[in-house]
Amino acid sequence: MTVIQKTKMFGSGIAAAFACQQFVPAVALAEEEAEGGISLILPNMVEFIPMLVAFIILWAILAKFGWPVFDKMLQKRSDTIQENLQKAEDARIEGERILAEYKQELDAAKQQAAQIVADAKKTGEAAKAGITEAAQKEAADMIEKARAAIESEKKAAAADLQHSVADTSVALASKLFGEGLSVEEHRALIERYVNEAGSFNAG
Amino acid sequence: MPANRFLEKAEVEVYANTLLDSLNSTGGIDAVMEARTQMEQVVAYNRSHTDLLNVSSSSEYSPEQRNNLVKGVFKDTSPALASMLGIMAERGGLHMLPRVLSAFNELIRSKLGVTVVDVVTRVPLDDHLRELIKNKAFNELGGNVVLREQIDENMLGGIIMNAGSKRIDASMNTMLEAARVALKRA
Repeated sequence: MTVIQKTKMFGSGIAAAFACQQFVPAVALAEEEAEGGISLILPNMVEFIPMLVAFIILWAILAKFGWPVFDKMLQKRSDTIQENLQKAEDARIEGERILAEYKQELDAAKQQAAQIVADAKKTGEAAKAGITEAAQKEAADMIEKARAAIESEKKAAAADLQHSVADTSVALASKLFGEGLSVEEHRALIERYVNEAGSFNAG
Repeated sequence: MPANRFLEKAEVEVYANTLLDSLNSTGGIDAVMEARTQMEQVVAYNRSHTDLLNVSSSSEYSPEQRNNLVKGVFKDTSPALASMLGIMAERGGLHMLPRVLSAFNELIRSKLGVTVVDVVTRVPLDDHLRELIKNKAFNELGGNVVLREQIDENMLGGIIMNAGSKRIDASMNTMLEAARVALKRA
């Protein structure tokens, strides 16, 4: 029997149950009008038994044809939910794993960044010290060269002055001797030089 | 070449000896000194006029022409000296004259016993100075000292004495130059 056939039979059962119900209340209403008192709260067997039979038939039909379909739908739904829950759990676990990895990578990156900053700082300090030392050395060299140049200039100036004084003195003496001495003074000078000069055999 | 040098040396000595003997026999020491002075002037002239030396050694002229040319140029010198210069030119040896002069000076001292002292001063010497210089030269060099005086207006003062290769420079120029160098070095 296919599902369609089962569904059709299920529909026929329900229609019969409805027909019985439509018939039974009409009878009961007629009797109700005839009787009163306690009979109002007690079931009327004439009505109750058909209703019970109809209910049992309906239950049997539903139990036979409707419940398996419904159970199957529930089972399918449960499986789907279970599967989704499993997927969600897997996704959560995967997410936690990825998050842990990210956190680990983030920590490593932070550590690396800190190391880079520390290295950069260290390198910067070393470069600063080197530059400072080079600048100090260059300044010292420049000062030394300047001192040497000044000293050289002083010596050159002193030598120039000395030469100038020597030339001037000799020129002055030459003028004095050349023009200022009389013949007798020259002769006296010659006599003195002959007496004081070295020997012919000296050199 | 060594052989040429020996020959030239012998030739130089022959020229110097011949000239000295000739001059000494005719005019004595005065003639010798006069010829010496003239020879010095000829040497100085030849240094500044190389044309004469070139002509005197040129083969384009005959020996007789060279002799006559040089004797003509130096005709005012003593006859013995002019004759020797002519002969030297005739033989192409006028370039040896400086060495003849040196040999001549040496012969004056060795053969005649005369020490010639060349004196250069700014002012003329008086007798006192001459005697003083002669005594100094006699005491140190010996011989019969003969002074040859020369006045140099460019000298500032003092005296320069030359006796052959020996020299005393007591000139003001030299002393001031020494003072200049000493002052510059100080």
